[in-house]
Amino acid sequence: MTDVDFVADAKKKHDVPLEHLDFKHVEKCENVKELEKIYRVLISGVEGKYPDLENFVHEKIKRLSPTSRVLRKDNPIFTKQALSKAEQELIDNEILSFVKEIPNVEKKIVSNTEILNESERDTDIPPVRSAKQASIISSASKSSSQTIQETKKEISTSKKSVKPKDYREWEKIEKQIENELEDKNDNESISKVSKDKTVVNHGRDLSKNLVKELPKEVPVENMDDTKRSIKADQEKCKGNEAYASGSYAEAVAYYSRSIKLFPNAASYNNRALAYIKMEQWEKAIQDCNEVLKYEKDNIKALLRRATAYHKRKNFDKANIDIDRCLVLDPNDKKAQDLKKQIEADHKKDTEDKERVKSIGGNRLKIEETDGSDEESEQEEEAKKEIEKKLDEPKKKINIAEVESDESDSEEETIKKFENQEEKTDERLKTDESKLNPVNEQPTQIETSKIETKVVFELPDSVLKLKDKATELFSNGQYGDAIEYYTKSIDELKALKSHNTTEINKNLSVLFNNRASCYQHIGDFKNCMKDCESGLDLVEDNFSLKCKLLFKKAHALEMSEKYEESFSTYEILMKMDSKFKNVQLNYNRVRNILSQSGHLNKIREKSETKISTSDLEIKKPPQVDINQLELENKQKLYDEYKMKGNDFVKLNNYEKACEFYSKCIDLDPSNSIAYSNRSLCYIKLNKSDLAIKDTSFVIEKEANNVKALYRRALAYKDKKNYETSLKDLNKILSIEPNNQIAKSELNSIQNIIHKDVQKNIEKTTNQTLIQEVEEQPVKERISEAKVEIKSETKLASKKETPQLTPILNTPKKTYDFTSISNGYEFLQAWNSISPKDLDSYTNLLSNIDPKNLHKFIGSKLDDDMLTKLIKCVHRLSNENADLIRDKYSIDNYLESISKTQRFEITKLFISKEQKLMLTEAIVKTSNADKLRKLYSI
Amino acid sequence: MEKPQIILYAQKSLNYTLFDCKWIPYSAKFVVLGNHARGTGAIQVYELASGDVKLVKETEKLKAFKCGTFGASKVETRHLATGDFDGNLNIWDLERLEQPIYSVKAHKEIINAIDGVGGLGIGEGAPEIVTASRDGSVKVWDPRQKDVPVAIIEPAENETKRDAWAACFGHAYNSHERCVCSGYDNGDIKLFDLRNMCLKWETNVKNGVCCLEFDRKDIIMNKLLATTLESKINVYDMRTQNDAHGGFAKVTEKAHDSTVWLGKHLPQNREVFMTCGGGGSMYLWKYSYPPNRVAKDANGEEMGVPGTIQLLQNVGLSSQPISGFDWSPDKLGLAVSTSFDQTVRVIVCTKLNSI
Repeated sequence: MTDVDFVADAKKKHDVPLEHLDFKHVEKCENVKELEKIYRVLISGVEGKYPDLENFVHEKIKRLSPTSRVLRKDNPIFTKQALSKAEQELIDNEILSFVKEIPNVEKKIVSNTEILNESERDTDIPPVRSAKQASIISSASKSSSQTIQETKKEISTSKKSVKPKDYREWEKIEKQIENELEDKNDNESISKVSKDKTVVNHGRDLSKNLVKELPKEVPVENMDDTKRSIKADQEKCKGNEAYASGSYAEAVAYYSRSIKLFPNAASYNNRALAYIKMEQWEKAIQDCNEVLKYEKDNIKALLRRATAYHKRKNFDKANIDIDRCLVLDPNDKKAQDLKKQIEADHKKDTEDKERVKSIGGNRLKIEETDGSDEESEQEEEAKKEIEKKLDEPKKKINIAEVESDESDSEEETIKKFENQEEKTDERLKTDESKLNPVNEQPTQIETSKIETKVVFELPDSVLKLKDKATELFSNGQYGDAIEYYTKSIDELKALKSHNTTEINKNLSVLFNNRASCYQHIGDFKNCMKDCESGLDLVEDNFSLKCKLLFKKAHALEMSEKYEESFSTYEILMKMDSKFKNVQLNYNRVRNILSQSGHLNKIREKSETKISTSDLEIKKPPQVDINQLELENKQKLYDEYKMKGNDFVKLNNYEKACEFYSKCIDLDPSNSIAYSNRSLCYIKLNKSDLAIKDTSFVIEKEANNVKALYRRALAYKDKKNYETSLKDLNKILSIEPNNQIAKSELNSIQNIIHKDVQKNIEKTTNQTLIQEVEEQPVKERISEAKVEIKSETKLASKKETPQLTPILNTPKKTYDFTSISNGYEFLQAWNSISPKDLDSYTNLLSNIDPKNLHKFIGSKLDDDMLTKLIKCVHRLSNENADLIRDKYSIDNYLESISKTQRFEITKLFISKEQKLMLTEAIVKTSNADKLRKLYSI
Repeated sequence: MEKPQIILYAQKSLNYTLFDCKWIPYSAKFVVLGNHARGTGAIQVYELASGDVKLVKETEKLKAFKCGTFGASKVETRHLATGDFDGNLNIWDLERLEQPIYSVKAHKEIINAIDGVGGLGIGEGAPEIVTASRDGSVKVWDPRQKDVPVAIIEPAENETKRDAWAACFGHAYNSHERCVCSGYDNGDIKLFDLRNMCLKWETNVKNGVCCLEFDRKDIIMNKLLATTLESKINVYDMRTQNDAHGGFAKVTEKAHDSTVWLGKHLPQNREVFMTCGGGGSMYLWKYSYPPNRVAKDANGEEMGVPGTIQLLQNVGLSSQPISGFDWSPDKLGLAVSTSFDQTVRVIVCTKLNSI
């Protein structure tokens, strides 16, 4: 073999000429592939071992391509001993704690087996894959050869026997499925697919459509807490992964499942982040609220909420949140940055608005003077400027978003992903262009909610117009939306003769919506107009009124009519001081005014206005509640009553009386109208009629404190002090702590003693107090309504027991007199602070012992029993006369012993309590029996 | 950030050939399946205890076991389904190992792979087991139905039968959707839609497919990991199918310098997976998504875009091929592996939560 042959041979073997295995060549060579080849030859040892050259090539490859495959070397595995002590301990501890804890989990999970029998567990599992299949399989071998010959695919799974397996049918099914799932955007690809004859080969991103198919419900029956929380964790994990891969909708679906299984702050928090990614700010805010319920000071949630508020251009709220973040962690860089951004954007935003306005103004002027080239130039410049301005905040928002998300240290996978995302600016930017319409969504949702609530009987044409308008609104096409709203308003106006109140309501809503359109396009003049016409029409819809006022105030502010704006805000503040936006805007306008020194003037002006509006506002919430209590059937009744209430508000008691009378005509059995009418009669000094009405109510509800009080007042008016005293005493027997009744009692006693003539004045005073004290209760309810809109009904129902004690002390206490079922009883029971034995006793003394055991039901526990015994003991020590026959201690004790779990619970009775019991029992008539019952 | 480390926590030499190992869910115990020298099958249950593994229970059965899964059993019962050298599918109650609670002669020859779904709260819908056998068929079983499978996937009579090496479930994101993916010795990979009973996709990766696994069974199918002979690792993005471009987008990586016997996703993070090679090496990988997972092809139709896989750590564990590997579903980073050097090893991967 010659040298030449040898060289050629070597080249053949590994494609590397021998002379390349040389320092000089390697030094010059920059081709990684070639270097890798050389390296392979070297380490294979075919041409001999050259350790120095090997190292040299290795270093070179490392420098040129650090991730090259040839550099990979299997490291020997570390044993624990090879690690540092700290690391060793860390691992040991982790594994040990796992080994220790896992048996507990195991026990909990496995222990369920015995409880659940087979059939129960199998309920939510689908049946065995089609029973038909058995036959399919038997015939499979025959049918398969055919299909396989055709398709050259190795499946024999019965193409024939399961009917729709023909390719054509497949197409149909596919199309059907797709039609079900298609998004508007996907139309194109589908039409193409239908032309294709293949089965599933079209390009389609599964995640888009199939996310909808993800089951939202998770079977939770037969699952105890351990399993649920484990499963919830798994779902959360899936959510995190989906989030990391950029499928935000999917992530939301999994987080939602996790929350369904086991509501936890982390899932809410993560879902909020996913919503932020999807630019559903409102939902993100809701979730953050949820997190903050669990953990008041969760910085991440605060930051996320701030981001969402920021995006909604709700800068004030964003600032509040971000400030809280900075209080919690002053060094949080993300929060600091976000704060700067918010402030900058806030400034820009307001500037922009003004800029747009001023530019608009300029342009008009120019048009008027000369319509030449100059104009277009100016226009273009202005446009550019606007574009620039709009662009800048967008970019900023981008950054802000990424940064705020990065703060997430909990799911580091997510964090990592964020870095990648920064590269994908492009996509984000296109998303950003959608930002504006999305921004407005929240308001849209609010308005449409009202619409659905109010619009019952609108003609179709109007409904269509309105729906179209709402759609346009949500798309951000405000100009078009205004057109449609105008049309629908016109149509409605034409119908006005039929049913005025109904249509007024709808009209006011439409005006409100159009006003928000105008607000969005910056046409504040028209916005104001609409608000005013809306306000004229709106009667009793408290929230709508607030909204209209708010918009009006905002519009006024924007058109720099600060004085008027201020007074409107002030009215709003009186109406609903909890509304944060109002507070903020109010303060802002006040600052502006105080700078210009106008404030005091306005103060004086507005004072009178406010006092009148103040009165107006008092009742509406109650109206709403009454409305909710009544069924739809009683719409008419409702309407009359509402009108009645309205007139009460306007101090027009005569008219109110008329309407209440109509109510009574409609439904003579309903005592509310009577009760309300009596109030009017008192105001009108028609004491006789008032007494009649209240007596009727009291006949029906012996313990109606309100009616009793009113009758007392009426009697007092009639100078029938004795009967008045009787009623007041009764009130006090029902509610010993009723301050107003007490003071009234005192005043009457004084009157009797001194026989002073001033009594009339005083009664009016008292009624005023009564009204004022109604307020807190109402406010609470209206708040609850805003917060849990969907649960309004429930909430108001829950609150009803609180509604009645109008005469009660302003403290939050339950009216123990009107308890008629176990739910109310337990609510009242739980509302009492554990050490407040007085209240417990009071509650007990208001319950008919016959019902007591029914009320308690199966809820009796040792704690409750202890308290009951203490109460009974106290009752037995109190003046025995107060306790009527049926309210005797015997009855109480007997009733308690009838409760479901008494036999078990009595085992917990302590010695001390036994002593109490014996003391109490001694005073009873059938002591022996009771002793037996309580095994004393 | 420091790289994750793969650490040998405990190991134990045994006196039989080990084929598979599985953690018992909600416990620190695992099952080892294998083949005694005299040809009988072994099931052993080990418990992890302070730096060591302790034998808790063992039994010897007539036929050697090749593979096992808990995937189709209920959380409360945790029954083990096994495939043996004789083609039998058995389900065992680990508390009472004397008799299988379900037994069927599933295949004519050895069951190479087994997978379960619908149990353990993973995957919605019915519990089902899929078996892949040398006889060329892949069968789906429902433990509630005796003797007959609920679906068979096999070549026609006149076609050459390929050795089915791998099978797995996926796409079980609601109670009716489900897919089976099977891999063959000639490099075929086939994806079957069990709801519609049709072939959804097939491809050939040239080298025999040793192991298939979806990154998660109970989600809309997302990624499929296929490891093959000749040191290839393929990861498919299963979200977007476009047959004009080979169906699903894939990324291929070469490692181990030998057959890649196994590829297993971390249950706590689907983007992380371990591959085990014929040379006894273990490679820990992480998949990263591209900025945009979907792109438009020339016809304007959507097609998937593959991501990249990045090596996190690699170690040489033994001189012999690794036959079994299982991540603990309950403890992040804890894993057990078996290899042909008759040793079972408990492995800890650190810093997985900070990847």
